[in-house]
Parts: sequence; C-alpha cells; structure tokens
Amino acid sequence: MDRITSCYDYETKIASSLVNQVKKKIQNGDMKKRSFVWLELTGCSGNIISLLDGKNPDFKFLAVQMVDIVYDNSLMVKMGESAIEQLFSVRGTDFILAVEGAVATNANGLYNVIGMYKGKMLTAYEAVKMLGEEASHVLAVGTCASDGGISAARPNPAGCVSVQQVLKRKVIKLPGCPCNPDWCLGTLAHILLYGEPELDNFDRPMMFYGISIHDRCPRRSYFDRGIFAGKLGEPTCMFKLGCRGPVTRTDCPIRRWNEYVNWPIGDSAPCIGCAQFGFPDLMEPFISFDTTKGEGTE
Amino acid sequence: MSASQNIRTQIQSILFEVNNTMNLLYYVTSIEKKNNLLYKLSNLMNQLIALINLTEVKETVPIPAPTQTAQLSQRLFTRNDLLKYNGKNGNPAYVTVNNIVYDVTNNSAWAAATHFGLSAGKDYSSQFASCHTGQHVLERLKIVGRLTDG
Repeated sequence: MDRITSCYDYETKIASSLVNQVKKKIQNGDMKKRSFVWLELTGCSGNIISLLDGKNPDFKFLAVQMVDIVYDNSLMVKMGESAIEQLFSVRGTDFILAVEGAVATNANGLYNVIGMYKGKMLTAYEAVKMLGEEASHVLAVGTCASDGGISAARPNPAGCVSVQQVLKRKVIKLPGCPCNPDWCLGTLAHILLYGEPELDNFDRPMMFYGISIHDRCPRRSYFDRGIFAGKLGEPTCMFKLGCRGPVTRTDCPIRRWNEYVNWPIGDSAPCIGCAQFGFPDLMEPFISFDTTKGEGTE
Repeated sequence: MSASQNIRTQIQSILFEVNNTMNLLYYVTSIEKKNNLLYKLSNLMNQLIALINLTEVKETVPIPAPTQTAQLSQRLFTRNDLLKYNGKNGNPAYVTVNNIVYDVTNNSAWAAATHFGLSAGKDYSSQFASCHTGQHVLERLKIVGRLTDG
C-alpha cells in the first residue's frame, strides 16, 4: 500500500488504497464477501431499477467485488421454489438484508405474496419477519420501506406499514422515491468497511440525509430575496408553487440523479419531498398555482 | 430606532449566534454535524458582510426589520376570521398555536401555505404539541395577533 505522506496523497490515494486493501484481503481469504439479500415487498421495484443506475460504485462492482448477492427476485437466475430455498439458505449465517417496499399486513399479509415455500404461499410479512430479526443489518431502501410511502397512502387498503413497524431491531432507513443508488450503495459500503454509519434521530445515515435541500439549493438566494416563480419553468425560487425543499433532508442538489446529471429543481420543477417522512399524503399538494404574492422571506 | 441602530442590533444578534455556534463546535463529535455548523457559520458571516456593506449606503435605503418581534400585536382574530387567511388568492397565510396568531406566509416550511398536510388558516395547537414540543420554532415566527372566541 502506498504510504500516505501528505494531504494531496490523502485525497488522491485513499479511495484506491482502500479498494486495493479490500481486494487483497478477499484474495488472501482474510475477508470473505458478505452475503446480501434484497427483498422486494409491497412496492414498485423502483429501488432495484435505481440501484442498477448506480455509478460510483456501480452495480457490477456491487455484485462482483462488494457482496455475494444471495437473493434478488428481479435479478437472480433461479426461479420458483428453488429461488425461495436459496433465500432461506442464509438463515443461521451472517447476512445483510435490504428491503424495498412496505409490508402489507391486512388479510394476514396475503395482499403481497412473494413466493411459494414448502407448498404454502410465503407472504412479504412472513419473509421480512423471519429474515429481518436475524440479519446483521437491515436497510429499508426507499420511502415505502422506510415509512410506508406510496404503498401506505390514503386509504391504504392493504394495511401497508414501514419495515421498522414489524421488526423489533433497529432498521437503517434510506428514504427516497426511489432511493438514490449512491445512498444505498454508499451505506452498504460503509457497513462492509466500517460498520453501521452515523444515524440521525430517524435512523437515516447522516452522510446523505444530514442537511436539507433548502440549505444547499442553488436557488436559495432567490428565496432569501423574495424572488419567486409564478409558474413552472421559471428560473427563480419555487416556494410559492409549493416546493418541499425546505422540509426535505437529502443531498439531491449536490449529488443529483441519473449519474449526477440533473434533479427536479434543475429542470425548474419543485421538489415534492419524496424522501421525507409523510410522502405522499403529507407532501400534497405537489403544485399550487393559487397562493399569495409575498414580499421578503423568513 | 434609526437605521444605523437597527443595523447595529442585527449585527449584535448575528455575532451572538456566531459565538454560540463556535462554542457548539467544541462539543459536537460527528463530522457531519461539524460541517453543518461550519456551513451555518459561513452563512452568518455572509449576512454580517452584507450588513456591514449596508452601513456605507445612504440611510434612505429601506432596511429589512429584525425577524423576531418582541411586541404582541393587539389585533384580535376569531376562528372564523382566521379561515380567510389560508394563503390562497393573494391572502396571507396565518396559523394559530396556543391562542397566538402567527404569519407563516413566507416561512420556508409552509410552501404554498401547507405544512405536512395542514393548510393555513386554522388552529394547530394540538398538532404542534405532538410534533414540535421542546423545539424553538415559535420564537422565530412573526406574531400578528391573538385568537379570541368572541
């Protein structure tokens, strides 16, 4: 490993030297790739699609270098009951569990059946309860898994709840609709290298959810001077249109989406608070055209 | 209060905040929280610079008033009156908590006069208590009157 003797060295070499350390350890057999299970419950699969969009690290790096993906209903090769058997093969071993989608609880969980196991239907509720309590870490990926989200929106006929509500142990919450791949893969990488990252009061990693969108918004100076947009597409602050940036904590203005290309405000559309608890019901209305014309701000 | 006294008061309150923030930095252990505090410090410094630049401008330029109002306004609102102030169609957005009426028209958390599913123009004393107890939220809001049941 290169010796790090200056700040410049630290900046340029630390990431590659860490990756090289990990590679060497895996080659020597000192560090085994940990098992990783991805459970999709009552959701839209948006988070797995988002995961595949990852750039640094990307999905190939995840699958080849970082972890041993034991189960993922969208990506694995095995099908049917043999896939479910592979899922349960992690019981009694060390594994990290990522869950996307809320947990349907009505009708004994029968609103969401994820497979057949030993001839019986396996509901999402049963699967997450069985595996969630045993995993070394549980990541609730996306707003539905973190807080109920769209799956639990009014009137919630399936009785969807967040993953934390059905598990007694701590669940690391990664809200976002979908969760940005960096937030998910970054948290996973931190767990693999250093253990659980620092979490806030709502069990979200501080490194991604530690500051509000409003405090990092490139249009903040318009807000501070009271220069507001009256309709979509204008380049000024969209507070009067109902932008939820001030109440949403993520790093969207900096990290952006789709390999760091753009984000809603960058395209002159307001933030709808998709990563904040209460989305979507409490973040409505997403757009308003009938508000007041104020002077100055606070 | 003359314009320059106004500026002096604002500068003093900002310096007070800078002092508090710097003290907090000693006690905070996480890097993210330290970074947040440093960011807050740099914002406060920018505000100070803006205010100091203002002292060079002639006194006829209008100065924004301090954000915290000490005087409770005597204006009385009934619950019915308050419904009009729902933030729509050019009306300001008012809410009442514990019988004091606050103006949230330009409050960043009340975009389009709504906050986590609540619309302006109503009494949110119980919702406030269940969510914000112990937080210094009300002290930063502009007071416009009191609620009366008359």
